[in-house]
Amino acid sequence: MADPVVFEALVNREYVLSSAENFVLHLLLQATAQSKGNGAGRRLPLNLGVVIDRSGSMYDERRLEFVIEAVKFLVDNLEPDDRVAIVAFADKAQVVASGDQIHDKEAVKRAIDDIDLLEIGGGTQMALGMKAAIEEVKKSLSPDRLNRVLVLTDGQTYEEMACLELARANKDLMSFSAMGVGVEFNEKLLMQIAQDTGGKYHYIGDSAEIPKIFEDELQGLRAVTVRNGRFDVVLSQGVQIREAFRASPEIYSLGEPLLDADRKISYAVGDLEGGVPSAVLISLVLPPRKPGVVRIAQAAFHYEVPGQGESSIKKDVTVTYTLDRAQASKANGRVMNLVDQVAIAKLQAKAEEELKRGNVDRATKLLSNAIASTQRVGNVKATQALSGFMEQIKKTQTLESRAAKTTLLQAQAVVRKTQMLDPEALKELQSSTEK
Amino acid sequence: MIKCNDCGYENTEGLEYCDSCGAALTQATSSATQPAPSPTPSETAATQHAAHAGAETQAAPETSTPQAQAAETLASEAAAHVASAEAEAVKAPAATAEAPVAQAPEAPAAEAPVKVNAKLRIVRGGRKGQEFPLEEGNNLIGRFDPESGAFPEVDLEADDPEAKVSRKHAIIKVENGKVTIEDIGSLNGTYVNRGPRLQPGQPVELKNGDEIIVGKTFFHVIIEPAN
Repeated sequence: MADPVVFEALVNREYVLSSAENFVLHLLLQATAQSKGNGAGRRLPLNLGVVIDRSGSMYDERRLEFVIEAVKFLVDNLEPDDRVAIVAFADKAQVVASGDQIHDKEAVKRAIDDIDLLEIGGGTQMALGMKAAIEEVKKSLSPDRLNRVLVLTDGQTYEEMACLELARANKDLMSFSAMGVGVEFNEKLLMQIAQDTGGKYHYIGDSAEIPKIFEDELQGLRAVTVRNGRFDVVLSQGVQIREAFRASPEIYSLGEPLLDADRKISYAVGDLEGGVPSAVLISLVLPPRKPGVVRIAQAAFHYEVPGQGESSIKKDVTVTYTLDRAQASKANGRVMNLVDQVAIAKLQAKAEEELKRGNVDRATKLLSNAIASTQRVGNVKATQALSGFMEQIKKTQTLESRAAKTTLLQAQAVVRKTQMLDPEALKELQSSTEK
Repeated sequence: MIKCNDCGYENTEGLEYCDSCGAALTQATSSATQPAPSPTPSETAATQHAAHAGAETQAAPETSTPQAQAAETLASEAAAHVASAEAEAVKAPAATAEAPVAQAPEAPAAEAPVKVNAKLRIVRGGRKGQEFPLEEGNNLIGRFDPESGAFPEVDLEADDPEAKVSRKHAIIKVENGKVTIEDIGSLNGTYVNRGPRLQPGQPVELKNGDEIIVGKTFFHVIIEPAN
């Protein structure tokens, strides 16, 4: 039977020039779990808490209507051993259906239909909603279940820090996925909640997309075959770490990397969906050395197969210092492709920062460099989204307008999503990296 | 370090995109990184010398005799230079191959080379104010002439209508923060700060603010530290 996980530790250049300077090398750590249906584990029962925003604005653009449709769809697709609790919040939070009531699906759906009758006000106190859902999920909590809270909101909430802290305090017990609808919500908050807990962030521009997003969440949960994945890297003496980014299935910064006393750094990547690679791209700084083979790091991937316990796979990462310029100029196409995608995401984030500080010219320059890259790698959607954003910025000179915010959210969403290479392109890249 | 073509920021070697502005960095902008462990002094300088010399000996002989003689002398000197450089280069890999793989890097590798921005600015005889940036390594001063193999970095074809500058007149070398000039057998001579005429084979160091005369063209030398 095939291994449940394939783990790769690849550098962008296997041969590096023996010169007088420090230089940057990129290390890709990627783990891919077997897809379901390859004898890869049994179905994992769900333990979900759905948190629904019922503030006044949710009545715009039929948002609440679509949410109700989506949650009813979710209920219809549950198995008898799944648990789903539903909570609605505005100024107060109320449990609409408790996890163990799921045996009577019709009753649950009726309760969902009556969400707009709840006397809970019209504001946005998301922390209250999250708290209630967390309590519900805890009632059926089990390490053998996929425990997750889904939050959907369309606006700014009071006490944003409380929401983030609630998620972080419970991340060892459950993951949090966050969906933002429209333009008023705080995407940074929702992204952070999802990233810190192993969940997903979804931007929903058009409320009609809400049901599809719920379906995606459900499909993703059903596809989990390996749990609690974690990359560990121990760097050799003299090797420094510059930055680290999640590279698949989404691209985002992993913040300031800090090595512990043993020169080790760890990245938890949560549960793995079969067939979807989980990857981290690390930029290292290597010191000058004389020609020869050198081990620069020891990498490991730790994971759990439900019913089979914990395992890990170890890989040594080596490079060969050489005086041969021709050899040192060869690069691994797959790794470089992700380096390119990460660079684009970085530029988009930097442009945003500059805009917030009022440096429109600098932001435009960064965006046009990002667009030059998206054109070069052939990402048409990203080119369009970034160009649309840049046009708005040039027009309004600010992020404050609705149009600017919309194009920003769209650009963020496109640039965040890792472009998976089609099999033909992948074959081409792999042959170009033949030793 | 790799200098960004767009914004001039100096980036660590190995980066594909500028840390400051995000523009794609081409490897062509990378400043020449000498292999650290090699004991050969400027291997590339020797080969460049040889390239100039080689081109000269292949080309049709110069019209004026003294120049042709100087060119021949230079060619044989350069050939000798190349031979010794090659011999040293062959030695170098053997020396490094002996060193065990796991050894800590040598101390010299830790020194960062000094970088300067150097250029010449015309002050008389030609387009006043015209600037010629100088690259790391050797910069040939002369007049563009493919037939004789003259491809100067500082091309005075446009500023020297009376052809007082030889096609291959002098070489300015920029290395590790030091700038030197050497006459390579010119007809009308090279002068630094109105001093005596420079002799071929005897390079003279240049400082910021020095004046050099090449043929009938006067330059100011500008040397600034990089960043």
